[in-house]
Parts: sequence; structure tokens; C-alpha cells
Amino acid sequence: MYNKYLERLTKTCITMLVCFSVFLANAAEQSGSWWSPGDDRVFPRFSEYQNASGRFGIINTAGPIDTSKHPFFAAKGPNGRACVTCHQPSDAMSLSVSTIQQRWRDTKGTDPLFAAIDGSNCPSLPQGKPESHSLLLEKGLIRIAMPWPPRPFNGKPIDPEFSIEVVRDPTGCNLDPEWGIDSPSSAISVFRRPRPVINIAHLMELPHGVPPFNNFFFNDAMPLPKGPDTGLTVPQQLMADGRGLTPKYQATDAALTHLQLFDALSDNDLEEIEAFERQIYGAQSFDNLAGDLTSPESPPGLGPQALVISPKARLGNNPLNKIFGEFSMWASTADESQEVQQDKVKAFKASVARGSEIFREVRFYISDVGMYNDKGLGNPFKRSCGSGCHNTLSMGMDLSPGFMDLGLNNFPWQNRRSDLPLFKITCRDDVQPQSFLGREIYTHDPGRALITGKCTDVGATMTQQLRGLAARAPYFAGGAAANLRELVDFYDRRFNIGYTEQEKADLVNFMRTL
Amino acid sequence: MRVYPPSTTLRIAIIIWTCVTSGKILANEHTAFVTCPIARDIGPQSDVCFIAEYNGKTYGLFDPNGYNRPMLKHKVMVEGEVIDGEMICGATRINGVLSVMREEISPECNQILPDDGSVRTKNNNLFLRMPEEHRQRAFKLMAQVADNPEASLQEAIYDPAPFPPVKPPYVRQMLNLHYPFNSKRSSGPELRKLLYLIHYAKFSGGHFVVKSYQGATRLDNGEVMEEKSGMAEERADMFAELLIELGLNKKDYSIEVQPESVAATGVGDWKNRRISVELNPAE
Repeated sequence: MYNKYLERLTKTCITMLVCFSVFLANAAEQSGSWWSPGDDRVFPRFSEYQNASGRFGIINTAGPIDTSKHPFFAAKGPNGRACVTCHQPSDAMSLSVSTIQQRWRDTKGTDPLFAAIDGSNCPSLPQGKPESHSLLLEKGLIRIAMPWPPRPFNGKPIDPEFSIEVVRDPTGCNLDPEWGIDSPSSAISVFRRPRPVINIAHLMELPHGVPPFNNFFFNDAMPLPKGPDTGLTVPQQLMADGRGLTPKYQATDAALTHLQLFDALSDNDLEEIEAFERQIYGAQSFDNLAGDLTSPESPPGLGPQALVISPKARLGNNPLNKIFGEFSMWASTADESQEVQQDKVKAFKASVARGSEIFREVRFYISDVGMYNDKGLGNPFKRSCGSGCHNTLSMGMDLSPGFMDLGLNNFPWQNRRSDLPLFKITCRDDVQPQSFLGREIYTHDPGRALITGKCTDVGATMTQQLRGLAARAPYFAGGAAANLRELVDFYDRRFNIGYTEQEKADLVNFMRTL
Repeated sequence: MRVYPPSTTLRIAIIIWTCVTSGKILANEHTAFVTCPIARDIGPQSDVCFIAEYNGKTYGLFDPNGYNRPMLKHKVMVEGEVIDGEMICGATRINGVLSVMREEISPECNQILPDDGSVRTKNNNLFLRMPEEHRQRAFKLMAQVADNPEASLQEAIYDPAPFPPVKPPYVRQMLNLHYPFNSKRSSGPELRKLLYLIHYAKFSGGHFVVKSYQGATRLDNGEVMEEKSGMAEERADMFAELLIELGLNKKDYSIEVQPESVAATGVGDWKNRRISVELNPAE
């Protein structure tokens, strides 16, 4: 009797202990996933963060950092934000919409992330109401106020080749008397996803092996610009519209706008921010089906270590590199239906291997892409995802570098969005028109044209690295694809590719492991 | 001197007369025309190639001057010499230049011929275009991948070797950079030549004399197409910017603009759309 009682008590204690441990683990996970500015935490040499597909891993090559006073992590401006607010380690140093929604729930919309300036659809809207923050909450979009006409960059004045008219303004911000195009500060509000601040060392390397375009911009065959802070030629890969040429320049711009800092960051702060950004490398490190992506049996291009060892800014669309390296160790010739029944893991790995091959080998007509087909490649240009626009070894962005209008912003290809502003661009008669849309263009975001003032640049944005995709949905600069399947569907429709259901699934599986 | 019988002479005369009156272009004859390009699919592992139909004949469009390939939705100006017997994209090759007519969209230019298996290109593998030494390194790495998959992440496309130092005696250097019609974008290969010239000047010293031209093209149908006014100046401005960006000072060069289009003759008119650069080494 006593023994039975003791046995039951022991079982109860063990159960309670297990439950408590799980609770503690969950609590640690919850508090560990969101980094608030000024958290007294250490950014370790290696860290992993949970996402729906597995875990995202970050290697910090300089070793542990005390973040309590680090300028990337410490609140600098009056709105309480830091760089980390929009570049969360758990989200591949970007910000997923699921994280944003969780943060809204956790703080009832009071987190600095939701600051009126750009965390709401427009600062003039009543703050704290979900509908005033709908673009951030539903699509993960931050408001970017671009000066109009464009401010000179590189010391050269800009004479815009087009006029811009606000056709529809669902946020109210483009016609707002204080914030809009006719306001004293005359700005165009566009809404974009925060780009991942990871693997920046790759993005800041000038292209190799493509002479003379290691130093020249492919589109106009003129030298690539020089960083205003360094005087050195820079590759323009950093930002969607190329306005921030170096990490320091980007940080300065972000501090003055998103952080609402009155004065520029100190040189010391900028040094620390740039050093941090250049020393962190990230990729999905664990997949719920495939397991440890960093094991010796996994494809060498998976996991964050691949980014550390991989040569930077090299063309990867060749028989050796295959963009993301060899995947054949996961390939399987077994009958697929049998695999699914016998071994889900094996079937998933085989799907990933097939996806990598589809990514780099299945060609389709890339046509009518402004700033791409018209830079000399021809229209159409028959390439695959990997041999076309995502050709850079281990990173998958466009090495050239690739500002282009895939139809993600401009009509008629864009999913018509009722939540985004719509602009009508009218190009002057004496300038070269946008190659495929002409002189009258409807767009949700004029993109690069808001920097250069050129008609040919309307709607063009920089291709994105493909790392950490599982951690940072939604995709595309305007958040148009809620998940990887929607991303594949967009391309399938845009370029009339005709992927089979299996091919789409394989591509999705491949991309989620990156 | 060989004397042909009257019947043969007559036959030759008839052939020549037929070609001339039908507007067909003889081999090695210069031609210039504007038309819609047609894309031809040449298989699942190849880029498309482009052809053009003109006066009842089909020509393969070859772009020798760097990336300036034709675009559907835009007409293309073809200028060059017909190369008899040389085929490209399944059609007679024209040795010359292509200019995409970018100013306006031509929606009617929208034809893609499906792959019928009749045209295949050489393997377009990047490795085959590399220097032998680089190619061998790449193949060696490929052979290692089965045992060491990490080799697949190693560098396979290499930077070209830097220009070697230039030794005296230094001599006058000349370079022509050619441009598509109404365009100020230079080609990649010609930019490489310009970079070499600037490299040369680092050793030789000296002054660059630059002349910027614009041109006109006499098409086969008699029409003369003139580049837009101010094109030579636009080219000169962009070129001056380029020289400054490449490290030259204003005192290192002089630029002369020829604002009038060079008159079209109907033969090699594309050569007039150019910037000529002359480097006179220091004494």
C-alpha cells in the first residue's frame, strides 16, 4: 500500500517536473524569440531560433557580444526603437508577419515597432487601432516616405523624367496635408518589407568573374557608385531601391527615419553596427522533416556555415557550384509513392534535391521584365530561376546587380492590391520609355525610379537573397506572397512556366531549407 | 582572260538582274533594315536565338558587340554584311551590329518559333568559355564532389588576370567605341579595351583626345534614319563622366563633339556611331 502510494507520488512528481520543464522551456522560447531594444542579453557565437519549418541558425563569427549598449540593439531615438526592432534574429534578421502579429497581441499594440511614423499606415491615423496598422499587421509592411522630387545622390541633381499622380490612396498618407505629396515636405509613401540584415558580407562584395561588370553597372555600363562614407566602389545590393549604398549609410538613413533620431548616429555607433552586420551569417539550420541541415550528410550549401566558407559574390550558375552546391546526396530514384509511405524524411529530402534541380535547370521565357530583358539580355531570355535572376553562389541574388521590374509593383502583372496606394506615372516624350509598359504606367511602388527619376526604372527593385526564407514570410517587397507556395505560383503565372504540382511542391521544399 | 560563251554570260546577267530587281541581298553585300525580330526556341537547355525575315530571306541575328540582343515588343535595326554559307540560328548570318529600337513599343513584334529540333547551339557551359587553366581547376573540383561535396561551394568562376605592366617604348593608342542607334551604352568588351587604355596611360602618361560622333543609317529601302539631335553630346557627357569615375582628371583629356550626324552612305554606317579615343603618350 505504502509502496503504491510512493509510486503514485513519484509518478506525479515526475509528471509535474516534466510539465514544469516544458513550461520553462516554452517561457524561455517566448522571451527568447523577441529582442526588445536594450535587452540585457548576449548575442552568442551561435544561436538558433524556431520557425514553422524548423530552426534558423546564426553564426556570429566575432564571438559573443554584450548587446545591452550595442547600437544595433539599444534604443537610440525617441520612439524607443533600435535596429533590432525590425531586424529580429528569429526572423532571419527581418520581420515575419506572424512575429508582428504576436507582438501586437503581447503588447496590445504598444511596442515601439508600431510607432506612428512608419509602423502605421500613416502617422495621421488614430494610433493603437489594428486598422491603422493593417499593412504592418497583415503584410509586414513598413511605410517608407520617399522625397519627391528625388533628392540628389552622389552630388548629382535629379531632373525626374516623369510626373506622378496619386490614383488611389487607401492609407490616406499620399494625399495627407502633412505627410503627402502636396505637403510641405512632399513625400511619396510606399510600403515595403524590411530586408534581412544577414550575410551582409556577401552583399557588400563586388561581383567576381564578370569583367568588366565587377566595377560597372550592367544596365548602363557606367561605373558602379562609390560609398559616400568610404569612397570605394560598392555593389548596390543592400537595399530594395539602392538608396543606401553601404551599411553605414543605410544605418544613418534608418536612424533618421525609422528611429526618428534627431542627430546622426556617431561614427563609433556606425562602426559597431557595420561590424556586427558583416560578422553574422545565417541560414536555416534545422528542418522539421529533414533534421539537422548542418550535418556532414546534408548538402554542403545548407546551414549557416555554408555562408561563412563560401566565396562571396561569385556566379554560381555553373556545373560545379549549382548556385547552392551539391544536393545529389539527397536525391532518390525510388518510387515516390512508396517513399511517402516508407520514409517521409527520405521523400522530403528527395523532394528538396529535385527542387534544387528545378530551380537551376528548368528554363522558361523570362519576358517583358523592365531593367532586365532590356539591359542587353534579349526578350525573351530563356533561363531558369537560378541561371537567370538568382545566380549568385550560396546567396541566390542577382550578381549583376539586379534592379528589375518583375511585375511585383507595376500593372498588369501585379496582383491588384486594394490595400496599397496606386500611382500613375507619366513619362516625358523626350525620354526613353519603360521598355515594355511605355510612357504611362500604373504602379503600387515606383521603386528605383524614386531614386534615379528615370522612367525606365519605374517599379524596379533589387532581387533578394534567398536565405532564411522559412523565417521571414511574407515575400516580395510588397509582401504579396503570404507563403512560399504563393511565391512560386506568382512566378508560374507571371512567366507562364507551367510547373506541375509536384514541381511546385519540390521548389517550396527546397526553398524552405535555405 | 577567260571568255565565257554567250549563253553563260546571259545566264549570269539574268541571275544578277533577278537579285537586284527582287531586292535580295547578295553574299558579302552590305544590308541595313528595320524589322521585327523573331525569337526561336532551340531546346530546353538553351537560350532562344533570334532571326529576322527581310525581303523574303531569313537572317540569323548575331550580336558580336557584347550584350545587345533583340527584344520582342521592339523592332531591331540590322546593319552589316551578309556572310554566305555561315548559319546562325538556322539562317544566314549577318556580320554587323544590332540596335534595339527602344524609343517606342511595337506590340506586333511578338513571335516565338517553337523548337523543331533543327537548330542546336554549341554547349553554352560557362566553363568552356574560361581560360584553359581555370577550366582545368573547375573540372578537377567537379571530380572531387562525389567524395567531398563541399568542393561544390568552391570558387569556379575566377577573376581575369590583371593587365600586365606596360613597358616602353610607348606608342600612340587608338580605340573606337561603337554604340547602338540612339544609345549611349557601351559594350562590355569595348569597356575592357578602354580599361586597358587607361591602364596603359598609367605607365605612358599622356593625354587622351576624345571625339564623339553621331550617325545616320541609309536603309536598303532608301530611307535614312538619323540619330536624335544631341546624341553625340550625350555620348560625350557620359564618356567624360566615365573617365572621371575611372580616375582621370579633366586635364588628362579633351573632348570634341561632332554634333552633325555623319552622312549615311548605306555601307557600314554603324561605324559612325562612335567615340574615338586617342592616347598620345607623354614625350
